[in-house]
Amino acid sequence: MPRHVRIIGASLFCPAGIGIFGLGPASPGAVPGFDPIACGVPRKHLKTMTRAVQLGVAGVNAALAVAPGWAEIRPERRGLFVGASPQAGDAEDLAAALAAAGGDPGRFAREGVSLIPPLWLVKGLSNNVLGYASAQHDLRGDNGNWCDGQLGGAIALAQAVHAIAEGRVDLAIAGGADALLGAESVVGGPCAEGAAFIVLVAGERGDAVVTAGIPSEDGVEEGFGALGAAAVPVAWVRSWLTDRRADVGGVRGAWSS
Amino acid sequence: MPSWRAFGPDTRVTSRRRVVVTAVGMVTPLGVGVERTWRATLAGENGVRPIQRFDASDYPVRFAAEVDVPGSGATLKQALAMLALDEALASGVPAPGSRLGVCLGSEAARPPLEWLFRTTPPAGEEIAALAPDAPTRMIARRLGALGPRSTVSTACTSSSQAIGEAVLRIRRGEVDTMIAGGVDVLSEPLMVVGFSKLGALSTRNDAPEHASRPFDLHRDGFVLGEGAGMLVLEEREHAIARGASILAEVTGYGCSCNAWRITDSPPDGRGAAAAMLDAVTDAGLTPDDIGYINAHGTSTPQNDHSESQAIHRVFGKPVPVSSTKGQMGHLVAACGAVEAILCVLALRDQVVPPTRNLVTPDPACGDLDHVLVARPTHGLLRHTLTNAFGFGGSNGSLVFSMSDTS
Repeated sequence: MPRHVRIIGASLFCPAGIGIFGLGPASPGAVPGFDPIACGVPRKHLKTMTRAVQLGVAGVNAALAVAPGWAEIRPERRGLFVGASPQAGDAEDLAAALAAAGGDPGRFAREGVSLIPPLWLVKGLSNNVLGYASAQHDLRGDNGNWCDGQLGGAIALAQAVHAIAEGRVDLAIAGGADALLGAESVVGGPCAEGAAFIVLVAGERGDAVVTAGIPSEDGVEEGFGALGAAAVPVAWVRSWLTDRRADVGGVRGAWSS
Repeated sequence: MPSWRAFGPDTRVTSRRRVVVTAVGMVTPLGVGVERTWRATLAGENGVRPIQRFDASDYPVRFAAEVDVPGSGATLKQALAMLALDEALASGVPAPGSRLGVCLGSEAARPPLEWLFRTTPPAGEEIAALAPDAPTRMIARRLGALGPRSTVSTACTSSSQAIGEAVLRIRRGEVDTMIAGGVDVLSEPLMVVGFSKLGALSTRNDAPEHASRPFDLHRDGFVLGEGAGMLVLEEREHAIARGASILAEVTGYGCSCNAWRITDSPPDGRGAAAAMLDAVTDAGLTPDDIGYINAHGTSTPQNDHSESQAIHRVFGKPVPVSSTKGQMGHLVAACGAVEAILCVLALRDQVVPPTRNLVTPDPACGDLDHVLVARPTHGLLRHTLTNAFGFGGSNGSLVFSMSDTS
């Protein structure tokens, strides 16, 4: 029989704010006051992290920071499940090479390539939240990274629930992160950035997950505008926290049960 | 509260449903189609040549394993996915509806340089075509698949994990049939630049045909490849009931994370070992039961060393091993699917494929039983294992077994 799945921690970063402040009215824009260093993102990795990846790693850090007892679970039994958007790297990393090329592919190869930062490709990996956060917290178990637009975060949540229920891991961190500011002309509307993660364990501790089912996109809050892979996790955590606002305490963007 | 579509009690699993492969399709640098690729792989043919798709004469690496299909970027990627799908569905198209799902391994298609030179931003539909899930959505739409649809993007592990996820979904009872696989297109200027700058690519510009040499002492990096592989996975009883031809059973899936560094794997191969052991255990087997390993074997010094340590750790004794990347380069998000299909074909034809260009086995990789020419197994091959390991640290291993109905 499937095991019971419980939530023992959560984090929230959205344009309404960080942590408890993120429960305010939804509106498009940036996460106010987001400081990746203060949220435990290693300074040495910042240059190879896009804004979305910084938010995602901060989200994992914040959720784990308040999840009791997670570090006692063996690293091989800790999983990480992430919804993300493909990271194209930062446009300015290619700017010098493109300027040198002047629109000529041949000149791009001859004169532009040497101007591209060596780690440009690494910064553009779509699974960087998974890569960096797993290394930071020694999460060696089952994992996944889904790039399915707004559905990506929803799939991550569902697969994490299954992974616990089926006994493939004993700890699962799941959620999504995205940063779509600047993409308004492509998206065709207002955009936002954010991240939200939940920490799941098997057993009786914590709040029960509603069901080991498939979260849909139905609950996405339109007020944020485009929030990409973070949309469903942000909406889900906001709803969950709203229901239990009275008995949770905020710690740098996160709560524990 | 956002709605959660719960499973009804009728779809809850209390015992494990078995998953079989009933059809496959692929396009690789060795050719269009399963049989063409399989024959070339067994013969140790070469799929690596000077880049034809763009003028690479001033790039640091000027060769790749390109497919012989016209197009580039997102257009080519979708064409490859559809070619592989069409072949897989040649003997029958699954019934549309909620019991059919699609799970692919795919990364974002890379924007052509021309876009980057433009002063106007790309249109919304251009961006949508680049999205990793564009092929997934296209296939689901075409087949009327209303069940789960997802796109795994974990670099080189993508399609191995996609197949694993599809297996889990069938076992759980979410669906009866999944289209699972992967697709990637790598011979693009930005990919050549990006991987070159990391020092990950072979630079044998004077001898591309010898550039991809997994486990060889003189290997110097991998070769960018491209292609697509699609598998039709079905619940076993469902396949039997419709009279489908069963090629093999997917008996094991293992997944782990290195939790190490983004582009390196731990030298002791701990993550790879965990994935392999998980897959073997999931299959209800022991390492002694595995008769062939299709290694990730990228031809980079680090991967091949780390993977060989993992193989020693799990198996303890020589098991026939090869990396077909010697023939066709590294298909990145598609490699897991294509190499999974090769494992299915090895079971079908009772022959395991060789590693091309493996002339001097690297002693640092230990005493592996390298397959240097196609090796018949005389009906003794029952279980095969394939590995995929990616940047970011995800590892995926799959075990395929002879079907007891074949």
